[in-house]
Amino acid sequence: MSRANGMLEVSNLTVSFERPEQPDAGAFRVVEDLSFGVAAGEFVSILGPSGCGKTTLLRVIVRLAPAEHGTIKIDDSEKYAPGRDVCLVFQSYGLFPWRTVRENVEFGLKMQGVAARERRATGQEFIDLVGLSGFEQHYPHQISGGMQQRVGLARALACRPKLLLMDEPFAAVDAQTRERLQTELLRIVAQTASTVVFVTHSIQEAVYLGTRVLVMGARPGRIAADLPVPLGSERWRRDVRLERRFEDHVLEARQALRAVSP
Amino acid sequence: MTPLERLRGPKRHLARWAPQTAIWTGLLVLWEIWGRGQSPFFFTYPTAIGRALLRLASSGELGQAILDSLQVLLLGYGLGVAAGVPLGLLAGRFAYLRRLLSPLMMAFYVTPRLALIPLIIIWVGIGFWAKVTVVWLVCFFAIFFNVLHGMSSLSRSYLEVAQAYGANEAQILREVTLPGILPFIATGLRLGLGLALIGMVVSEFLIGLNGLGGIIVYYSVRLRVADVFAAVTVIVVIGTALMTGARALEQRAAHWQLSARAFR
Amino acid sequence: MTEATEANGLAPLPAVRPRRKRSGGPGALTGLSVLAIYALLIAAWDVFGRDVNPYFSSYPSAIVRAAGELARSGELATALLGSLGVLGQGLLYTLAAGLPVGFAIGRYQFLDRTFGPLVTILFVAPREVFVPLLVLWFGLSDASRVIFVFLSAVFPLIYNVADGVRSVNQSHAEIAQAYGANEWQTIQEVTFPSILPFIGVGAKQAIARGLTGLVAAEFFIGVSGLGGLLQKASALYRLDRAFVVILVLVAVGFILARAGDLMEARLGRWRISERAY
Ligand SMILES: Nc1ncnc2c1ncn2[C@@H]1O[C@H](COP(=O)(O)OP(=O)(O)OP(=O)(O)O)[C@@H](O)[C@H]1O
Ligand SMILES: [Mg+2]
Repeated sequence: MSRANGMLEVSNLTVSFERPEQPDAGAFRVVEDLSFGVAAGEFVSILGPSGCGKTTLLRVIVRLAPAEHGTIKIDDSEKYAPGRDVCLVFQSYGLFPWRTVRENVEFGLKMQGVAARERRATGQEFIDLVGLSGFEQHYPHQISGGMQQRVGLARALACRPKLLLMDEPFAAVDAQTRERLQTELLRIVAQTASTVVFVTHSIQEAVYLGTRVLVMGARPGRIAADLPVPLGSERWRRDVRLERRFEDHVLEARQALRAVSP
Repeated sequence: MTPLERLRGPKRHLARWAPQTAIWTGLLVLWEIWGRGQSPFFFTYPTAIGRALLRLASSGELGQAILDSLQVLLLGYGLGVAAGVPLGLLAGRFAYLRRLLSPLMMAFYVTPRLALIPLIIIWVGIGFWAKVTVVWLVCFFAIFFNVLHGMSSLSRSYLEVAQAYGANEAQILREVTLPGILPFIATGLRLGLGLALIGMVVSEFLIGLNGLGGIIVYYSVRLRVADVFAAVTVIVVIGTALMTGARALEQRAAHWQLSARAFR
Repeated sequence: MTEATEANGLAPLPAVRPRRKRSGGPGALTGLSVLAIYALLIAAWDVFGRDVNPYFSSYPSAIVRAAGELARSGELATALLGSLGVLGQGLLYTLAAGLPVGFAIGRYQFLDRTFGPLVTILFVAPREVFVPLLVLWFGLSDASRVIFVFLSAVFPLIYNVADGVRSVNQSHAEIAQAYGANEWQTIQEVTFPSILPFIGVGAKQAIARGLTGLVAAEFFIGVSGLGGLLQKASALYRLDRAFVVILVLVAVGFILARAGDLMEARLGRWRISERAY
């Protein structure tokens, strides 16, 4: 399934967890023999039933959890650096409550040892990009959930990663904010020419955002369907959600998801 | 609008506290009247305490005692902080160290540390350093355990975010662990200071009678109650002032914490 | 930060058992190997401790012998009972005074504004400064010691109970009233259950502070109880006996701490943990 010019290439990935409560039952295989590729500039949405291993997959890619088998390559290298080559946007935002918006956005750059001046400039650029100018000195608890996730997004983008991973980033915000954030994400991704892997539970969201939708099956998790969504790359300028073919793609994705759901 | 709401600024402040001021003035006056009727070897009253304070202050006795006490307090407390914070960080970071020390930690946790004073006197001798050791001992554990508590309450997800952004161990310590547990460190510093004050007084009672605690014992065995109360007042004032300062620092350290409420 | 942080001036003791990890590695230190390490240390101490000047140190088998002596002569039992008696009385008065005073201060803002600052001052300032005055007024008696234990223990209880009453969720009281509860029923069904966890926290702190107060009282107010026995032993450079008393204090402290934890857990059962994400 991997393609030429692969930005991300996951091959035969297997991930297991130990079960401490029943050590004799053997390891619990969450993901088995999973392979897929993402080309540069693609926006890949991942759908799948709860517990099928979507979060686990992203965590393994940024090396927060070990893989049992298989390889992961980013830009053709297995020796990619999390925080530099690939950044994860967390579902619960993962902001540090003791850092201001600015300090949170600059976090990844600071970890890379970027000098304070350059950090400031880059940080400001991405704060402006996500529309948080004027809130630089606020602490996370002083801003809304939608704004917190913009901070999380700016923090990841500021590292200028080759690949951006997002784990249900808009799950905790209200419906209106969510729609606005989706459109904004498309604009930002287009402006920064990012490659994105986006996990979500919303079929509409997956189809609206993705140039491709991957559907994952459960127990063990693997790719069950790979649906291209040719809605055009400028889809944030006109609202494709009002078009008939959008509904067709949603229907197609819904059927694929239905097929893997227990 | 109530009459109170119509007042502004300092006037309003005065009016708000008027009943309290009246009650406390009344109580002091009652104490004065009643206390004058008692034997001065057994009881005392506010103006006598005031006179005793003036006498102690002008003779230089009080100033010297405050200096002696603060020296013991600050040295013991400083050493307590210098040992408690890094050891707490180490024990919090390494599970096997925690495990290894757990029986000792448990014993020191449940037992009053004051019980070790007689051994300290034997080991360190009677003198300045014995007092410093007592102060150190009582405040060290408060700081150590609060740092440890902070480490165990720090959410794992912060560490994971830092790891996902490529942070190394030193960066995690500087950017995540230390700022994340700062409120707990500050609480430990405040509680440690309170205990250090106790250690100071207790060690001055038991070891070489000097400092403010020494004044209390000296005058109490000579039945000069007013002088005892004067020294008690000074300790209470110094203690409350230090603790109020520590409290303010603690609140600043926890400014980003939404639920930073332990006691006023 | 939780109120528990204030308990005996220390933080809650973190769970010692580490999360289970993949086997191997230093994280896998088991309880058994810790036990073995300590047994080894104690054995080494027993062997090498004999050569150290006995005025400065002791060693395990001497301590065991001293424990036997103290137990046979009845000194230990007398001291222990004396100490527990003083502590028990002090804590009883603490409960009897701390609950109503805390309730009153929490319930009536006027009282809080008038006496709250005094409670705070007595909570933070070293209470030990009052020991010589107690001796002056009540002599070297159990009464002095009980009063000192009371003074050590009562302020955390007052403080926590007042805090609990203040933080009773007003909307819960209103819900009760909306369901037709009268004043007394509201207190019974809402106020009291709401402040139970605070009573638990306060009682736990009171026990811990009371124990520290007991030891201080027995050092300063005549020579009696376990603290007195400890002081007598160390004055005679009998370090073996001193260690015995310290170990007994550790045991007493352990049992009281367990009791405090149980009380806190039981009274605070309905409290959900408020840990961040
Ligand atoms: N650290 C862990 N230890 C043991 N099991 C785990 C661990 N992390 C995840 N699992 C298990 O792995 C499976 C997949 O979890 P994961 O969080 O990846 O699912 P998900 O697809 O992200 O689900 P959701 O859509 O609900 O977020 C679940 O059954 C979960 O219980
Ligand atoms: Mg998930």
